[in-house]
Amino acid sequence: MQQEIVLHVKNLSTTFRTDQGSLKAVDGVDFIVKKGEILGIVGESGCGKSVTVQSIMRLYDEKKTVSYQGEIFFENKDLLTLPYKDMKRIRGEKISMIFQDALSALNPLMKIGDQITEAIHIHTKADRKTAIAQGIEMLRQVGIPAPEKRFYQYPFELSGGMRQRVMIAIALVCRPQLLIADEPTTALDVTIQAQILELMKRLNQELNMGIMLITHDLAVVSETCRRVLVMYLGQVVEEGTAETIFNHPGHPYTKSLLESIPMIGGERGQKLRTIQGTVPLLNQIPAGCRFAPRCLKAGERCRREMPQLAPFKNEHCVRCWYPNESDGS
Amino acid sequence: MKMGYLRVQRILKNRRIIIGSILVFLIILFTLLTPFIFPEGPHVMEVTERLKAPSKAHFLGTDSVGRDLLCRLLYGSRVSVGVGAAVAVITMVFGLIIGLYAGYYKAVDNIVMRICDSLKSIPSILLAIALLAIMGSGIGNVIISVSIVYTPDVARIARAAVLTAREQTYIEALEALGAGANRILWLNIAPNILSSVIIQVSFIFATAIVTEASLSFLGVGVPVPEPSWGNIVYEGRAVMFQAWWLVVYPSIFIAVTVFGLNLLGDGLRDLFDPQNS
Repeated sequence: MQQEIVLHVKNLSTTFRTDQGSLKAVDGVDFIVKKGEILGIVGESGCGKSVTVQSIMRLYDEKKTVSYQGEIFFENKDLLTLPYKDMKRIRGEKISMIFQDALSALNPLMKIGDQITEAIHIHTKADRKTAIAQGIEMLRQVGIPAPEKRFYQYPFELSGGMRQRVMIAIALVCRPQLLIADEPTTALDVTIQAQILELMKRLNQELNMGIMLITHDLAVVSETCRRVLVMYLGQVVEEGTAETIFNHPGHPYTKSLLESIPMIGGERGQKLRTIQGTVPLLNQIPAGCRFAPRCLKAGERCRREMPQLAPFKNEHCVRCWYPNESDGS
Repeated sequence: MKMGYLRVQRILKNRRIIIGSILVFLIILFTLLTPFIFPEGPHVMEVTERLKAPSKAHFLGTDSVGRDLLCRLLYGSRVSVGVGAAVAVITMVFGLIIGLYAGYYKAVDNIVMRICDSLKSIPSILLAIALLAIMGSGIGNVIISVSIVYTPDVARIARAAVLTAREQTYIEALEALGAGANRILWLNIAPNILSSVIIQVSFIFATAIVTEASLSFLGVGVPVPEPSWGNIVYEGRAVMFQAWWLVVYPSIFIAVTVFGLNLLGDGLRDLFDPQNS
C-alpha cells in the first residue's frame, strides 16, 4: 500500500549557540511521516526528540540561538527556508502540536471555549457563531461529555485527562495534516493514558492525518505506533516497525532500553537491568559510535569510526557496526 | 452562582478593601456633589469675613480674602482627585503598552527600559518641576508631567509580569498554533498581568495626589485662584499662626484620601494574590 507522504525530514541538524560553544542537539536526522500513520520517536531524556519537533515547528528564536541545516519538506515546500509569515500560517492550521502538561499549556484565565475558537479565528475568517459551533463539535469529537457545558468552563475546573482532550481539540480544530504530540500522556495516570492513546488512534484514522508521537515510554509506542524511530544523542540509531523493534531490536541501545523495563510478574528482589552511565553532554560527544562508551558489545572499531544508519532487514535500519542478529528473524 | 458568592465573601472579609473603598467612594461622591452643595463656586469673597475660625456659618472657617474653606476644599478635591485619576489612567495605559512590548521584544526592552531607568534616576518631584518649567503650569500640564514621572513604575511592573507570563507553556502552545505577536500580547498576556498593573496603579493614584499637592504647594502646580489642596496649603502657610485651619484641614483631606487609596490598593493586592486564598 503506497501512502502519501506528509512530512519528509532530510538530514536535519539543529545547532544551538551557547556560552560553551555551539551544541549540535540534532545531528543529521532523516525520516518521513505518512498520511494516516503514527510514527513513534523514543529515546532517553536529552536525546533530541523534542528539539527535532520544535525544529519542525521552528519554535526557537532564530535570530540569536539556533541554526538549522538540512531540509524539512511539507507540501512540497522546505519549511526551513519559508518566510516567518508563511510559517505562522502553517503552524496550527497544517501542523499542530500538543504538549506534555495540559494544565500549563492552557491559559488559566480563559474559558475552554474561547481557547478553541481562538485557534479557529487565527486561521479562518469564520464568524463567532460558526466558530462556537465548530468548537463544541470538536469537543464532542474528542470524547468530552456535555461539551456545551464544558465549553464555558475554565481549565482548572477540568480533570487532567479532560484537559489533554481539550488540548487535542484545540490542535485538531483546523484539521491539520500533521499532529505532533510531545509526550502527550506522560503527565497522566495509566488508565487515562490508555484512553488518550485510543482517542489519538481513532482520530488518526478518522481524519487521515499523520501523527508524530514523542515519548520515552516504550509501552506507549508499542501500543500505538506502526513505525518507530529510536534516537540517541541527536541521531537516529534505529528505525523500523514497532513489531521488529520490540521483538528483534538490532541496536544494542534499543535492546538495553527494552531490557530495562520492569515487568509485572517478574521476580521480586530481582535486579532491574539498567544502561550503565548517563547520556553524555553535548559538548563531550565521543568519537566513533556515540553509544560506544555505554555499550557492552563495543569493540575497537566502535570507538574509532561512526557507523551509518544502514538498512539491516526490510524496513529496518540500524546504526551499528555489529547489529544484533542473534534473534534471527 | 457559587463562584460569585465565594468571591463576594472574600471581598467582605477583607476589611482593608471595605474601609478603603468606603473612603474613596465618599471622596468621589463629595467631589461630584460639590456644585450642588456650593452652587456659587469657590471664588466668592466676603471681605468682612476674613480669617474667621470654623463656625456655624463657615464650617471650616475662611481664608485671608474671606472665601469659605470647606467650599474651596471641595472644589479643590475636583482638581486633586481629578489629577490623580487622570494620572492613574494615563500611566496605566502607557505603562501597560510599554511593559507589554518591552517584555516581549528584547530589542524594545533594551531601549525603552533604559529610558525608564534614567527617568527613575531623577527624584520624582524634581523631574516634575523640570517638566513643568518647560511646559508651564496649569492642570493639563500637571497631569502630563506627573504621568511622565510615574509611567516607568507601571511599565517596569508590567514588563516583569510579561517576562514571567511569556515563559509559560500556553504561550508556546499559542505560538505553535500560529498566533501572531499582537494576539498573544493583547488577548493572552495582557489579561494575565492586569492584576499586578491595577495594584500598582492604585498606589500611583494616591502618590499622584500627593505629588500634585506638593507641586501646587511649591507654586509650580495648579495656579491660584483655581483651588487645589496643595495651593490652599500654600496660601494658608503665610497666615498659619493666625489661622491654623487653613493648613490643617487641607492636610487632613490629603491624608484621608491617600490613606483610603492605599488601603484599597493593599486590599486589592491581597485579593489578587493566589497565595492568600
